[in-house]
Parts: sequence; C-alpha cells; structure tokens
Amino acid sequence: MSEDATAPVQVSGLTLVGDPNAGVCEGDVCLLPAHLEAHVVHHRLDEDRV
Amino acid sequence: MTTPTEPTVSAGTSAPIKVDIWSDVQCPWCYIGKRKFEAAVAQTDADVEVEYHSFELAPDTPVDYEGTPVQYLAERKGMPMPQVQMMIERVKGIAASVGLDYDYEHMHQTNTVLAHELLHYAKARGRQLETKEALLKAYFLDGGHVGRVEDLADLAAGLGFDRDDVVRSLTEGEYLADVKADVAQAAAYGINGVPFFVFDGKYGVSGAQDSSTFASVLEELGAEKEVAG
Repeated sequence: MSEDATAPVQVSGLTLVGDPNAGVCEGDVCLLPAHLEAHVVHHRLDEDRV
Repeated sequence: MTTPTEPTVSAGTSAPIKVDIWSDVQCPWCYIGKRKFEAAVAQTDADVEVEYHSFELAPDTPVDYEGTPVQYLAERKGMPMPQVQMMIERVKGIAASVGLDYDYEHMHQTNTVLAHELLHYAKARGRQLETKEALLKAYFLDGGHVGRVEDLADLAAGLGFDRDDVVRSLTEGEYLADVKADVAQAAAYGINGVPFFVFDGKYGVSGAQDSSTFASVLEELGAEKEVAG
C-alpha cells in the first residue's frame, strides 16, 4: 500500500485503503471533497498557460 | 446468475486480480474513477479481471425527468443554483484532468435501472466493459438518454447487439433481479457510495482515488500472488 493510504479499516471483511476524502457519490448528490479544490485550481492554471 | 466476466489484461500465468466495481451510470466520480483505475492498470501492467456491479444512486428519479442534473439538484433537492453550478464546474475541472469533457448542459437526468439491466445483458454475453464505457460516454459526453428502452436499444445496437433482443430483455425485466442482487451485495459490504472497488474480495477502495492508490493495491496483490504462486 502507498504511504498515503489510511490505516486499514475493516468494512464487512474488506480492508479499506486510500484517501477517505476521495470523490464519491452518495445518493443524488456528488459533492466535491474540499481537498480536491486545489487540484482544480492547478488544472485551471495549466489551462491558462495554454 | 453467474455470468462470464471479461479479462481486460491477461498476460500473467497466475490467476488475475479480480476487481469488482460498484458504480452508477450517472455518477460523475465513477467515470473519473474508471479512468484513474485504468491508468493504474496500464501503469502496473497488472493482470486483472474486471466486473461491474449495479448501484442505483437515485432509484426514485423519473425516467422521463425533463432536465439536466443541475436542474434536478436545484428543483428536486432544493440546492441553491449557485451552489450547484459551482459544484458542477469543479467536477468538470476534475473530469477534464483525466481527459473527460463532461457536457452538463446536455445531460438527461434519468432513472438508471434499465441501463444497469443492459449492463447485465452485456455481461451475460461477455461484453460488459465496452457497454459500460459506452453508457458513461453517452450520458456524460454525448448528451444521450440512458433511461429509456428505445435509447438503450439504439446504443446496444451500435455496439453490435441484437436490437430486438435488447428491447425484449429490457421490456421483460430479464436482468432486474441481477441488478437488485448487486445492490443487495453492496449493502452487505456496507457500501454507501460509489465508485467502490473490491480487489480480490480483500481490499476495498472507495471513490475516485488517485491512480497511485489503485496502483499500490494492484502491486500489493500482485506480490502476494507471486509469493503464493
């Protein structure tokens, strides 16, 4: 597992790995995790450079 | 209910890594996560076998809802329009970063149960993966409708399926029980949101994670298989 992976958590027999704040849809709404906003900003900056 | 799955890569000599993915057709993070997962598979050259499973995010959505996801969220869920627009713009930015040009102005918010039935129809014929990609592309990029029998039959015919047989299957609800079984399995795992990836029935990965996360799981399982093999 990567060092970014969270501490293993058992979810019904599964070891859950990865960023717990990754983009996910629950119900009708697919909210943007706050930590990903910086990624969007970086993408837009790249677009501006082009 | 057991149906064949399609290996995306088959280079190794040991059993491939089985990846079960719960996903919905009109889930923006599912398409983004799909691209990130695919990048990890390409990066690691992992031997994987992928199977998609149904997850209905909004089973109460009318098939013939006349509107976009933006209108749906604002009108039906009471979210302020500026908040919805801001959210959509941010998601579009993330999608663009993985090469997906989401066209929210032309998306048709709908009920996806028939699209899931079509995915099971395709899986039974060993062609689920290309059907999954076609459905996501139709919904997010091409302004296609993925909730109605005739539209789904057109899409399937474009993939080479027998259009009349697809209409028959969707009209009869031939694979409805399989869709509900997937949803029940998700509940049994405790899955509340999608995309959700289960690797070899052992590791769970929730959401559109970075490719590096998927890659590390694939490498870990690959190493375990080498030791065991």
